[in-house]
Amino acid sequence: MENFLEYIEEDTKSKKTLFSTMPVNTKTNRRKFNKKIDSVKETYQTYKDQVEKYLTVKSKSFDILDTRNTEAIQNEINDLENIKVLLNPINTYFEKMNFDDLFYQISNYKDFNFVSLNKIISEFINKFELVNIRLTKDDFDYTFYVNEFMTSFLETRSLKSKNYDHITEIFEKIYWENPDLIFHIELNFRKLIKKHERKFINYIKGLQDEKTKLFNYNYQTVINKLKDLYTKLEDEGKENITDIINLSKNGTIDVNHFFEDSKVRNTAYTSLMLDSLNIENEKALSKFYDSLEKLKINVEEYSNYVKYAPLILDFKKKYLSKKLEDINKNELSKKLKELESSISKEERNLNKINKKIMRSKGKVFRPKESELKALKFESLKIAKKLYEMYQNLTKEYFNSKVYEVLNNSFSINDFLNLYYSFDYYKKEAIKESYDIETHNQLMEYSDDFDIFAMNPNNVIVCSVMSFDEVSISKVIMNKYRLLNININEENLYPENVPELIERINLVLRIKALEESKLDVEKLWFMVQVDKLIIKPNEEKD
Amino acid sequence: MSKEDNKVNFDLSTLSLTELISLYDKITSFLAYLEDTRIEEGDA
Repeated sequence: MENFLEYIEEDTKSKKTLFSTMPVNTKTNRRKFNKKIDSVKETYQTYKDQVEKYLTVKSKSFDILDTRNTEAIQNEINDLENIKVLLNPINTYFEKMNFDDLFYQISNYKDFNFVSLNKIISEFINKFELVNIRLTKDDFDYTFYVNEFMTSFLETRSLKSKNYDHITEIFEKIYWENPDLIFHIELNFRKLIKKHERKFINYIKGLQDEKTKLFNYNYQTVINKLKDLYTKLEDEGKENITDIINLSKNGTIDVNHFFEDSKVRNTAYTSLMLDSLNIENEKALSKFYDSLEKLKINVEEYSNYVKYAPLILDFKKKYLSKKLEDINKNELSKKLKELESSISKEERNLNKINKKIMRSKGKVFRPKESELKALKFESLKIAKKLYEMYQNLTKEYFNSKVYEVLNNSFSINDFLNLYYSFDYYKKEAIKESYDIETHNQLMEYSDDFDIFAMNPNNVIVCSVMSFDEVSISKVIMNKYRLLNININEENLYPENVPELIERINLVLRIKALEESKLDVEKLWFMVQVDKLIIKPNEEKD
Repeated sequence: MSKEDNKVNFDLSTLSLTELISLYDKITSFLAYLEDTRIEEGDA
């Protein structure tokens, strides 16, 4: 027999007939019946093994090697992003040292467990060690309780012990007397950073000088270089045929939609064309594909823009509702200085009280217990007031930074860069604008925001902030309708964007498939072999 | 080689990709059928 498939079809049919006619009324007959079954089974198992082997080898012969190498570009981008952070002209040593991130964490300590809290405190101390400042227990004098807790903390840390049980005990003991302990530790660090500000500034300056001299970079050259690298990364990292194979194999995309007679395929093509194109006209088709590639990038960027629209809206309400001319920048800076000076004054006051409390330790003629209690109470009262003052200062600090960069042509890109440069405020704004339940969720939003903000090749975000979502979607729509792409406002409603991208992707994937050495049958075959043979065998192993 | 094997031409290269998958499917289905068809040998 020439054709093995035909043979199998006939053979299985005849075997089934045979089995249906074989007598099974006696034990001997049944034994014979089963013996026959086993013998046929053995033969068919051999067929299966051989066909399986053949199909696997054939499928592998269609495989395409992924020759893209985005790692080197990504590494170069990461290095430059670090330099960009250092040279960023709109923030200060405070943000460049990542203090804002640590302060965000410590002020939201309720979201963490005790081990994470210890880690945050350790990271603060590490930052000081970076600039050769070894903090001692005497540096932690914000309140009597802070001193008690941090003394134990530093002792455990100096032993390089990972056992923080003793600190946990101290923390619990203090916590019931002073539940604001963590807030006061936070303030202590704020005070210490202010005290050693010069050292941090010099440290950052040293790093900046090193990078600028070594690479001859300034902020703008870094941005330009990043633009090139992001373009390279986008080209190199663009979805290609190997991605399409993997997506088809793992079921993310349905390979059946690639067949010429697929209704989904045909609808995708026709729905995206304003005037139907002659598929045979290569030039027109190539223009159509090019436009779709660009549309996809714009729609993806737009979809990110829509994702962060609540943040943009919140910012507009806070800072763009007033006329810029009505903002007195000198007044803002005066307010900030006044706040700083009242904080220093109050901290001096607190320091005096704390010294009285600390000096009484171990002395024979100690103040009366009631006096000591009153002093401790007063100390906590001032610390509480200081916490509010610092919160005010933090708010005013950001306000001053916003008004430093705000102007009439302030763009969405400027907004992204502003929040990217001030992590603390970005996270606060995310928390305010979205229904965030966990710290991990917040970090996910924050990280995604950074990735979006970091890309210097965003196009839409160059528009001014006064543009709203509808105007942006109209700009996109009008541009692409001129290029014969059928897109309407409804397609760009946030809830419809994934479906639009899906349709564009299908057309672009068909194009990629047609340009590769594969064809839809081969791809379908690879998917079937993977589903029927390779994956089940891997699961068995 | 058994008598049955001799009847078979194993040249799978003549089959199209769709036929190959169909062939594999038929073999595995038949193996499942054989498994299900086997009977208990106990006393009748």
